[in-house]
Amino acid sequence: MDDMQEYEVVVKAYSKPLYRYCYHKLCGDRCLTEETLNDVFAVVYQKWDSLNKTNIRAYLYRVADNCIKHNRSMHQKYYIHNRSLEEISSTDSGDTLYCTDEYFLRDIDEDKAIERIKVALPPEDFKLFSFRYIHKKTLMQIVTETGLPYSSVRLRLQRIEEAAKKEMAIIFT
Amino acid sequence: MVSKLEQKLTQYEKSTKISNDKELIDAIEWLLSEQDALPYEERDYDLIEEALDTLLRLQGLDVEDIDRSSLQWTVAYLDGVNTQKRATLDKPARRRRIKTKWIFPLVAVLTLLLSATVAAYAYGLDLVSMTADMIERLPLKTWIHNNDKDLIVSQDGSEYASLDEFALAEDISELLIPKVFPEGSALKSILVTDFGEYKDIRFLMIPGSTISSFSIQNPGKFETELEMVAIGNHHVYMYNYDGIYGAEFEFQGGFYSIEASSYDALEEIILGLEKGE
Repeated sequence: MDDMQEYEVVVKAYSKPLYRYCYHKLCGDRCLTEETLNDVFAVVYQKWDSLNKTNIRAYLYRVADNCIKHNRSMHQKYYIHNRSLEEISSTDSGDTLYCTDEYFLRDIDEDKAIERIKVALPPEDFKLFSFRYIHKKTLMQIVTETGLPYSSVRLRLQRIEEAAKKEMAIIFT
Repeated sequence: MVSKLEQKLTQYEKSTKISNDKELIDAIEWLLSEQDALPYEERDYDLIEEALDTLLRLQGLDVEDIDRSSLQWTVAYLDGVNTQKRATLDKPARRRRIKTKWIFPLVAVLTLLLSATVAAYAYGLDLVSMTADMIERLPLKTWIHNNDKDLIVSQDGSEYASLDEFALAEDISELLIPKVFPEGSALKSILVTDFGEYKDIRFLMIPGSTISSFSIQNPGKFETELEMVAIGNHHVYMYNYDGIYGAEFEFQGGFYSIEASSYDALEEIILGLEKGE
């Protein structure tokens, strides 16, 4: 594999995580994110021959941080996120999911969908899914019943919802 | 299988309970700032990437849409690079010859190094001990936990009754350190990393604190062509974006970097800085 191919492999492998990283640090400004990524990979391209590639990931993040700092100081105005943090519920009953009940159950046989999801998920994950979407329990109720910490319930539900979305997409196609 | 992020958060919840998404976001931000405090080579990038994925989703952002943008960017970028490369490409045969040429100097350098090693031992130099000595001089880290406000305990078990005592022991008493944090802020831990040429001191705050970050590099320099403003006796470079107020300045050879959620908190902590005893 020649240098150019190797460089392309690196760009393809790291552009997605670095894009998210810069996007987060630059408060959702896509133009600035892409400008920063251009700078990052331009630096890497220039230094490619002399680069120690054993820990390229660390190097990429270091360059990204430097480029972010530079671009932040050059651009004084930033866009806010699409959704304000205040909109995220801080109560124990009105918690908002990014994936609503309606998404799962629109226009299809509910039992068929649930059966499909049950097959796709491990038993303990399906249990959480059923607490949330079948029995309509709040997050705090699930925390109390399972004894799991809030963060574990939240993270697992996020993962379960992604898997369930994929199953729903299959049903719709 | 429990993910790294979940493991970290479960550990976190042993001392600080999370009961809603806002607190979860704060906890993840805190984990990310903990990673930020480490040297780049020591960060857990799998954890960082998992944390960012979760954080963006919790903030209600369409991560799939962000990923689509990143894919579009990648395709466009590589297309641009390839176009540029084709325009300036050398003949392949000539490039191969250039690569071959470097083998001979490389062999010469390696032979020289080998001879030098043999000569060093012949002169009685113990290279193994010297290497070990060098390894010992690698950056040392000291974690100071201030969960019990009356006591500061370092990783090696040293105890300090106050920030002043800690500053004296860590030889940073000439620097300005925060003695009192603004209302709504609390110190969770202090990370001191000794890089030899300089020390990096980071005050890591409880998530949701009005002071979100405070770090000192000593010795450190700060130069900027941008406009500075006066806060107390200090001329600082101030920046503001999306509700974050930041200040950077130099004092007695140390470089200070502070971020807060309000101008008042930023001003308060800068005005309240005092030297360690």
